[in-house]
Amino acid sequence: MNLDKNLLALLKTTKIPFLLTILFALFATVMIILQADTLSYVLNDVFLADKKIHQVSSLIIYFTIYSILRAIFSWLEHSQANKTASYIKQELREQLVDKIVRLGPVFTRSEESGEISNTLTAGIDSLDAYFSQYLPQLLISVLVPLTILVFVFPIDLLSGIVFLITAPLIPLFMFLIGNSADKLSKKQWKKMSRMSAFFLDVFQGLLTLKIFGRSKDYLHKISEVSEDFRRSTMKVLRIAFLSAMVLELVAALSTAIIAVEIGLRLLYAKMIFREAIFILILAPEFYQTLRLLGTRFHAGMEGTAAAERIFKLLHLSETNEESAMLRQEKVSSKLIIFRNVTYTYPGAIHRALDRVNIVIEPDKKIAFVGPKGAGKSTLTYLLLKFMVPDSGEILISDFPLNSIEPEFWRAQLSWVSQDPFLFHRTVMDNIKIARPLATDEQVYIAAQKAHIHDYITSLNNGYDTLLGERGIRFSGGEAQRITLARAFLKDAAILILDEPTANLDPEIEQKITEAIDELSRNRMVITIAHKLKTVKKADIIIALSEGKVVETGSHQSLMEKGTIYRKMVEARGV
Amino acid sequence: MIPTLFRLVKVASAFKWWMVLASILGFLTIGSSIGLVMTATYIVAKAALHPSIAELQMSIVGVRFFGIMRGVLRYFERVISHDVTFRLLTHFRTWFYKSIEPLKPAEMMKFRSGDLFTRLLNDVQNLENVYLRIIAPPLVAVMISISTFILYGLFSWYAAFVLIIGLLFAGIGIPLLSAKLRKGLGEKLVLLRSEMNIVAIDGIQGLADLLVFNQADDHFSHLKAISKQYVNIQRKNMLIESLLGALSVLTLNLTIVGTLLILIPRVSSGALDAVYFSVLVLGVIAVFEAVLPIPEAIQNLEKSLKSADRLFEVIALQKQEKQPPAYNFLREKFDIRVEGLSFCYDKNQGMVLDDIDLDLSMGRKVAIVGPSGSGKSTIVNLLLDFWPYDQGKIYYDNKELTEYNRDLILTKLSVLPQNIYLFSTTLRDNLLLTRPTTQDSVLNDMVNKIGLGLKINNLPDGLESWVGEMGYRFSGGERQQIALARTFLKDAPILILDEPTANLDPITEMEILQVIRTLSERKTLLMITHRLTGLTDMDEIVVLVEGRIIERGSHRKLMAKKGYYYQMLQIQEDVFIG
Repeated sequence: MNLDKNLLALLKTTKIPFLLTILFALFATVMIILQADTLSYVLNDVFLADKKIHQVSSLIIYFTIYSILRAIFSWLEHSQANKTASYIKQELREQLVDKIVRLGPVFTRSEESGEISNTLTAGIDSLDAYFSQYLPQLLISVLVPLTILVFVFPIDLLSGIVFLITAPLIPLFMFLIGNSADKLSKKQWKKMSRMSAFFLDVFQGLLTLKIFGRSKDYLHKISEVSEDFRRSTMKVLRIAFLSAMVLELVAALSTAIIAVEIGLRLLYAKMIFREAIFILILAPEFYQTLRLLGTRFHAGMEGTAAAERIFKLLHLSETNEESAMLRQEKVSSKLIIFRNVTYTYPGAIHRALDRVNIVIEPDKKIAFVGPKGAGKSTLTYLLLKFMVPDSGEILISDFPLNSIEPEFWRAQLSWVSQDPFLFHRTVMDNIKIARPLATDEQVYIAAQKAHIHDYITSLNNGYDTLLGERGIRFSGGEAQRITLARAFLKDAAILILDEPTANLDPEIEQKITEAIDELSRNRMVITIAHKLKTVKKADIIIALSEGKVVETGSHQSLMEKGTIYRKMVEARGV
Repeated sequence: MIPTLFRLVKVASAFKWWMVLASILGFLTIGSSIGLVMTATYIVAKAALHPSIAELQMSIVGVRFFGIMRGVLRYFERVISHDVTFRLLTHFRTWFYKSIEPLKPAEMMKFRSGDLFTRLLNDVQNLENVYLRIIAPPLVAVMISISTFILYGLFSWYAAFVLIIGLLFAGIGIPLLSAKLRKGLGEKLVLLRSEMNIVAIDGIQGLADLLVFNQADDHFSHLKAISKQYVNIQRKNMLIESLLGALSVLTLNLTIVGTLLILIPRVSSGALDAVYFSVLVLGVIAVFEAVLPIPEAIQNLEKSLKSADRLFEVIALQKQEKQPPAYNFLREKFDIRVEGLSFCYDKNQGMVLDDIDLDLSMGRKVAIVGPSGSGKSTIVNLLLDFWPYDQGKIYYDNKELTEYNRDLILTKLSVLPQNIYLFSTTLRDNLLLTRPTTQDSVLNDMVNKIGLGLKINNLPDGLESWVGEMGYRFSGGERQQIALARTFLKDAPILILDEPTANLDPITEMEILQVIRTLSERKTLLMITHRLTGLTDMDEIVVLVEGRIIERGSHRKLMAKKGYYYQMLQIQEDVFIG
């Protein structure tokens, strides 16, 4: 009944606060019973025994003390419940973050980044109610009524029996109605995120809609989608409310039955007033816990729906699991060999790389060329250890790349990607990410070499300018030069370069070319090349097509005997 | 704060009768609750005096009546109030869209960023609670308080005052205390949440870079630390909330104590019928049900008002001028002329365009080329009347652009914008955006022409395939092709294409250029491009650098001149796209 195994397993680590929650709930219940007890004496004594106020004052003082203790215990109960939920939220978020890192960039690029981050933030938050309300309530609504029954039975057997019979009806109805509501609620959660995506989409594309003269039509569409959501949500809610109504009716009618039952027994002097009023005070409390279960069940359901998405992410299989601890590595002579490397992206039909064999000798400049989808980027991703070959191996100076510790290996690489990502940080931090301990001076020098220093200093806040949505956006050419500055700052032995697209401003193109030439000096350079100039400078050109190496050689030799390469050269520019 | 509330209520006022109905139902529900407790107590108290059963008959019926009514009324109250809530949400959404749709495109461009839109949409979402969690609880509480005050007053005005004081403390005092204790927490939470979001998105989108620079550990520990802070503040918030919950119950019990202290002497003196004594004391428990949701309501009020403030701010941005356009008609074929056009986005910054002349007579083919940032796309924005221009004139059919309705102008243009946006819907819907009534045969024909036919046939769902987040599942080139196809499908007399061949491989590029040539045969064509390909048969090529026209003429003329155009071509010839 709405108990997700994965979620329950999380409780194991927070047993104590969870148990304390239950314990304090019990204490609070005992206080409620004591309150009912003293209050029933006060009412009895005044009503039937004609006692004056000073004769019942001590009872009233007791009642006040119990009230205060009840408040304290109930606060402690909630405090412990929150402790449990807080711990689990943090724990789960950390697990999820670690998982995303292990799944790697190939995964995050294929998924919708917004949805992952939403799961990470709002998704996990919605588990709060499950742990702080629903789960403890599940136990409390068994324990508290039992405690009350323990006090009621000795006083009035018949009322006890009425309680005992009606109480299970509530969870029973909940179970019957809850199951179908549960399914609907999961559907609803999906629907809701799809609906929010729709609105975001419409607003983001508003200018496009305007250009095509369609923006007014979308008003209708928004209201349609929204109304559709209302109708389907109301369907779910009606079921939930119906279940709540049944629960309330059971509780209310039981109270009514008990009132009539004890009333009649009082009438025929089979019971005394004090006991009757005691039971009457407790009756709503008895059902209150069970009713609360109903409302909290609803709150918990949202959590289970979010949990589905969270655990789906957490249970995705990873490829990169083997322990790679090797750090010993001859830095001087890096011979890189791809031996029969094959790789297929998860879910793809065709192999991205098909038995690729490549030898890259130390300090050589290698250029990969080939049409889109030939496997050039896949080669660099494998080399960057973003993923592991399905078969075959990559050797670094005869050591399998798989056995080399990723951090150690990546410390020796610089990577300049074609679509540079700039973080929501300052320009300084964006460059320093390549070497966090670098001095500002070193950053300036790197930026100068990348021909971006002058531009940065021309900004109002210079190197402290914030980038991203809250700050300013850099153009493609500027972002490219920032990543070049990163590479200068890192100064690694191997440069993996996805050559930036040409910039048609002759001046900027010149600057970027110069920067790359400078960066390429004295290190192994593996380039995904897009420019003839670059290719001509390479020691070896490797032409790829459909995941296979088709041609290898210098520009000269490939122009003479090659086919794919020559075709590409001839088709260039046009 | 109060004016915002009024404006908000005004927006919501379309549903006022629904809200009144729901509130009355809410009042009756709690009323039944009180009735149930009071009649039940009455039965017990009366029975203790051993009257004849006939005297209890009414109350026995009453107790059942209230028991059933409470459940049934609550059901209807919930259904109606939630229904109103969602209707309101629809209403707020369309209201917001209606308010933002006529904004000047210039204003709209300012908040194109995803974060801002997400925030605004969350703000709209926050308004969802306006009725259910803000308007209804105090309304119901006031109705209950007044009626029970009168009811208790019938027996003892002192008891009535004790009750109302207890209710006031629980309904107003505790929320005020709550606001004081929570001060600043809400803002901190919002800040931390947005910080967490940004760091999470950075981490997810920039994961590759973080890994390569071995910064992933640092970045994600930072994320975890923010989460920890966030969770701690959430916890603090919850602690305060549960403290106040406990206080409310304590207030209720102390009100019972107060009622006892007032009523006991009156029972002793015979001023109060002893049977009603228990009824009034236990009735207090049920009455308090009305004020318990108020603290939450006040908390929600704060949140919603902040959201509303932000929305009103956006809505207050400059609207499109409402004055009626001088001309409501444009011929099918007409000339466009640009004379001495100058423009800057910001007076403090330099000119983006400086003294531009263009001749776009009917059927003429003009290309504007130049490096990025030279102002090419700005010309498009001005031609579409998206920004008001400062100096110079744009003439549509010899009348100034500003004299027309923008929507009218847009019907005559097929535009490929620079930032193409694909909607998260099916491929078909994206393609049909410009002309929803397009026939399937025409659509298929266009898709083939543009070179997407094979790709689409290979998709399992064909034209019904979903275009993912920002159309990510398609490559840049394919997205470009999709955008081109829908632009061409519009079939207007004037084609304005901003970077039509961006992201395309050379072979597709050649094909697309051929398509453009065919489709623009009898049309005016303005092509903005940084690719100097397929320009040989343009009537005129305009070279734009830093907002100024530095060269213009036919391809042959410019090549002979060996100027800027020639140099750009040299760079381009060096590139092969892979």
